[in-house]
Amino acid sequence: MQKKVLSNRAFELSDEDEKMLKKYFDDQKKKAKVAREKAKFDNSQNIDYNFGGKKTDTGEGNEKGSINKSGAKRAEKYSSNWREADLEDIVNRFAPNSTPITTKTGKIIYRNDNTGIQVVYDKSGDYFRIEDTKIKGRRRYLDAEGNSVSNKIVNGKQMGRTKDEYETITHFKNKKKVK
Amino acid sequence: MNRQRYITVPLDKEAMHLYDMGEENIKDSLQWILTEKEFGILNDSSFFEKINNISDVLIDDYESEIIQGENLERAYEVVCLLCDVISNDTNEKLRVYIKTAIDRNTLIAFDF
Repeated sequence: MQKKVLSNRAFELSDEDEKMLKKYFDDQKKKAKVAREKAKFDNSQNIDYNFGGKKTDTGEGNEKGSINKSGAKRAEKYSSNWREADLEDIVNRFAPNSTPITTKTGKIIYRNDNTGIQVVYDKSGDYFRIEDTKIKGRRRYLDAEGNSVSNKIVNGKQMGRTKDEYETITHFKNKKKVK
Repeated sequence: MNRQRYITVPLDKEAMHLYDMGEENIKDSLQWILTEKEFGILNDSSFFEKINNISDVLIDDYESEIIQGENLERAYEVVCLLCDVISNDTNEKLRVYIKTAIDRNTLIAFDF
């Protein structure tokens, strides 16, 4: 098989591999088109995930995205370590009467514009996180009580949490199935 | 609403440890805070989906994920191809970040 060295590359791709990857990106565009239609259909149903807010809305950019199923894989891989909490209770506590917004990656967002806190629900994995969008920096997710958990106290001394600890404590399995 | 999304490359092992503890210093890491437009370009390119499919990683919005080890080389091949097909500043910047992670033998982190 003839190898082709692409410019400024540290690696080589065969013509066959390159053709395959280009075909992959073309296929993704076609899949995105199908997903757009599906997302329009899903959002038109307007029956789920509304805990007292106005009708379900679509998120910015939703019309050009594709539904992402990585949440289901994430839950399968990690959820045995996550605590359970009731999505409806959490939404009513942190974002009461919010209008759910479905993002192009398949998350459902319940936002409280007054506090900047939003509940991010992953439908495919049936889990959620609580994000404080007013926190600067990359560790913006909270525990179920609404506390920032980037650090912990050990023997009276404050220290950082590892990434794994932080991820575990900021993901919640949904206790109740959404009707 | 604009959310902050970060791509980080620690420049040495100590910086990797600091990243893991949420205490990274921008002097010891490359840190890129993506604009909505930049995130849209990367997300719409299917780069994340491709990397998720060929590696044991789960990059997603509202989530945090790292790429390291041999997955970095896979990611580099994909981003190089992406730059060939769709050349723009965002894709090129991602290519440089991944190459830096390979050269420094560290990782690239996506905190969305």
